Amino acid sequence: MSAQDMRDVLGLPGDGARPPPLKKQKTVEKRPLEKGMAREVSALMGERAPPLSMIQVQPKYKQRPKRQHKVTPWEWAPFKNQARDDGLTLHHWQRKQPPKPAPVTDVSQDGEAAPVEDQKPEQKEKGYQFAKFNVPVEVPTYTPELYDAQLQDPDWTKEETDYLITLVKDFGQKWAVVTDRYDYQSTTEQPAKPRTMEDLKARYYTVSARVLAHNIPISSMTGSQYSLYSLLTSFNPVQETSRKRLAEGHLHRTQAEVDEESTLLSELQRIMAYQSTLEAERADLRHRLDYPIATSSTATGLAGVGGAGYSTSAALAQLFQQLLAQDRLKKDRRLKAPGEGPAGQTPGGQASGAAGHRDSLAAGSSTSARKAPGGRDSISGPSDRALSPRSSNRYFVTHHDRLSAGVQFASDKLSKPRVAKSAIQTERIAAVLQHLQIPEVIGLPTQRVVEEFERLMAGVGTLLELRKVAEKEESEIRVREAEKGIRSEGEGKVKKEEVEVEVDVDVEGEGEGERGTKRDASHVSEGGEESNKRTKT
Amino acid sequence: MNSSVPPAAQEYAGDEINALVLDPGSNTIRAGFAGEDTPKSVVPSFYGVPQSSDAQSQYLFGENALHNPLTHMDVRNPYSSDSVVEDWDVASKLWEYSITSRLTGTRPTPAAKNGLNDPAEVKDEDGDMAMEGVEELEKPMAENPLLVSEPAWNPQKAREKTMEIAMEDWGVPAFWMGKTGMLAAFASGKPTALVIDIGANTTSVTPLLDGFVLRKGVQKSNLAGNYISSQIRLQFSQMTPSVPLVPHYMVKSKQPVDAGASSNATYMQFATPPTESYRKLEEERVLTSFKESIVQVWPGPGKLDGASGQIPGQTNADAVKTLPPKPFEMPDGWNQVFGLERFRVVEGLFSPQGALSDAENPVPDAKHTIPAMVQAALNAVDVETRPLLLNNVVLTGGGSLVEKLAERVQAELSALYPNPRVRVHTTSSATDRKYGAWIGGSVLASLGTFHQMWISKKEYEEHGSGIVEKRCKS
Ligand SMILES: Nc1ncnc2c1ncn2[C@@H]1O[C@H](COP(=O)(O)OP(=O)(O)O)[C@@H](O)[C@H]1O
Ligand SMILES: [Mg+2]
Repeated sequence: MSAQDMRDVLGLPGDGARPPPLKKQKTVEKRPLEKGMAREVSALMGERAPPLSMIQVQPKYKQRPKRQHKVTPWEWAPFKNQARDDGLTLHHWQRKQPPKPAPVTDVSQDGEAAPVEDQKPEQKEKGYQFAKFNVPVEVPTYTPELYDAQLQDPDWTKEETDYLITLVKDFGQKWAVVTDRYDYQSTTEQPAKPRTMEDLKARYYTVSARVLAHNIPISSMTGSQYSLYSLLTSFNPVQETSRKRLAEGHLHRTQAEVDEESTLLSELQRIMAYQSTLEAERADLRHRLDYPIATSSTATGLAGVGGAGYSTSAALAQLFQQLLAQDRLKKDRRLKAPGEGPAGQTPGGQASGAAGHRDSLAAGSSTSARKAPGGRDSISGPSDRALSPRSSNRYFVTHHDRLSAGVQFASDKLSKPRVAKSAIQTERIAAVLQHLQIPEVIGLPTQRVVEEFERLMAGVGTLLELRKVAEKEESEIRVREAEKGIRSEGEGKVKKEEVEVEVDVDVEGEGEGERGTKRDASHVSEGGEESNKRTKT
Repeated sequence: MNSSVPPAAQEYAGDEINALVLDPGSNTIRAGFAGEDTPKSVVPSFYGVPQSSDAQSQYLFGENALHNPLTHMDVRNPYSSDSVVEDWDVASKLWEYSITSRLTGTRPTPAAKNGLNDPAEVKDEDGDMAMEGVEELEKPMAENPLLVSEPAWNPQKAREKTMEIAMEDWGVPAFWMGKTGMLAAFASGKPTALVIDIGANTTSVTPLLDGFVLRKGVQKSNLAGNYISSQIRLQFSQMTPSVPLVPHYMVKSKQPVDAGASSNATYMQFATPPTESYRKLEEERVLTSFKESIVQVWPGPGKLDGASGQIPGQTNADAVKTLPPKPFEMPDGWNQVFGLERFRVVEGLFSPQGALSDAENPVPDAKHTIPAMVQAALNAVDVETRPLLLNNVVLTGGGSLVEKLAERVQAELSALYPNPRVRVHTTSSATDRKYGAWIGGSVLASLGTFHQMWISKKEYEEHGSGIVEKRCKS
């Protein structure tokens, strides 16, 4: 609200003498002067901004970063290489040593000269950084006397031996190169003998070994020296030559041979892969058997049923041994750190103890300990005091650490575990349950019934798993036995494969006979079919 | 990266000493500074000799002078058909030109060497130390160590001569020579390799073990770039109607014409036409562009005339005929599509039966084809190195740029050696293959560990040029 408005409201006469405030505002809003343009010219353009092209805007750049340090000077400096003995001096770029923190005023004069002087002695000390890579090859050296005494060979003159040793030194014991460049010009009228790589190696190794033995008597050699010595003396040129000949033959194999080898290799790989999955399954099984199933009823049930399932398998004994060993191991561990075993791995024998230990810490009762194995029950809290164990059972009062969200039918817990992912597995589960005479529909899904059922189902799962492995093991054994038979017979390849195929068929047949084993057997028979095909093609 | 932090030298083991690298080939001479990734200076190995003059200083070097259609200019090449230097006077001038024209700046030939002040000893008798220094600097490369490449079969005389030129005429402080095959293998990072180098005059196969050439295995033949050119010429003349090969300098202007129709162009009129050798050089440029854009190798498996693997009763050539042909236009506008022909002209590198021949162009020797040379090279080396070499086949040289050549070599060698794995390594970059030997030299000469390999001026003075045999053993 301006003063004028005030006056209007109050009915005061307007102040004509005052300059209209508008004008003043105008001056305030005036366009700022363009840079690089005369005031008069700028005024000509009035209020409107001139077209962009007329304004020469000075672009604003980011500010230069402020560096604390000075730019390090580099110099084209001469250097020598210690690996050379001719003092060749070449130049390269290297960093000037940064000037020592000198008084600021001195930098301009001394800063230039001083570091160069500083650096020179240091450079000499350090040497050329790549000189250390100049590693000469060590070759045996001998005096003429030693040669005459020990190194004589009717096939070699001293000159030729010397020549060989220089070549070996020059080419860093790369025998292929030494052989390639070997071109001894005999000084006598005798023509130079043609030398193979094995000839050269044999001569060189002999000389090396004798020189070594001369310098250090065998009795006073260190371990590594002696092993070098025995290595040098054990070179066998004849064997080496025949090995080379074999290698050469290998090089000239035909495509068909190479193909055969690669199919055999892939076959082998497949077998190995199968082996490793089998191993993994076994390990998995062992782990499963370790799982804490504390209640004695399930354990005995498992033992009973499982025992029946395993009665024919030799693997059971092995499994048992392994379990025993593991158990012992864990006991040991418990001795070292009592009560520290991770809950998931607590073996059956220990479970109750550990649980009891924990419960006693939580000041709970023995009933909660009985509920504990399922892992779902809680540490008994103070609210528990009101109900006696009996009445809490009666009124189905349970305690949970955490409740899962949503509502569930208790009966779901009885029906869901019966259905597995695959139909075959479901079938198998049903068969086991039928065998155990568990009815399809269980009457009252109380907490305890559900718990018992879950425990039972865990047992069933283990049982099925064990059966599966057992069957695999059996077929494996049969294959092995068949192989053994063939080997003892010492028959040809064709026969072997026939038997192999027979075995496969066997397994398949049996698999179909037995309930629910078809899948595993077919896995084996696939391999059989493959090998079958191969023999045909 | 902060520029004030020095690069960790150990990281790449480099130490740049301003060395020069010279890769003189029979087609082009490549020169540049060690440590760079392409040669700065690529100069044709051909030179022009104006007939009017007999002084050597009148020789014409470099692209610009060479491709100018002067009357009476002879075009020559100082290399023999085996890619070794024949004419040393010109070769050294040409090399010096390739270095000084782009790299070290044009400095006049030192007064002591240009022939005008021959009694140079007189000056030395003054015993003026400062004078010596000045004279040294006058030499064109007094500050640059020099690495020169050479073919694996370079005779000892030629090596010594090269060193003399470098030391005496150019005044290099240090010198080294390496075989092209070895250098090309270094460029692809393989100290053990079987290098197939297809140049202009020669194709060579060089087995390498740990950076050393296995000399007994080295193979060479003339079935290389120039051979392909002559096959193309033959193919052109054998086609109906035959293909007119008109180089660029002949054409003043041209009009587009239909495929196969005779050209509609106005030609340059010369009072005295340029020499035959000049025309040949210019034709070669057209042929090179034909090689670059049209020529292709049958990629295998099998030979071009071999039975087709897909369709029984047919050859691979029949399969090729069904592919769409490629068009090529001559400088005068004449154009045509090429089908089987573009495969035919390189088949001679792989099978003598596939090559075109007539009275002047005999069928090549079977042992000069690439597969035969590889076989010969492998047979000459130790059994245990063979699989290593086959696993590291390196293709290099300008001629190896022909399309699908690497595939064909792979197929041929895999068929010959089914057992050890054959792997042909090629870089996808054309420059890397064209300048393979130069790049390898560039890598080598910029390595810090290479420093001890140089032959210094002092060593040269002590032992003479014979030292090159002792020290450059690669
Ligand atoms: N892209 C390409 N395709 C086919 N051949 C080519 C190509 N580029 C160059 N050439 C040929 O390569 C040869 C030159 O190869 P190069 O390795 O430079 O030879 P050199 O080492 O003997 O000088 C010439 O014959 C040229 O025609
Ligand atoms: Mg070359």
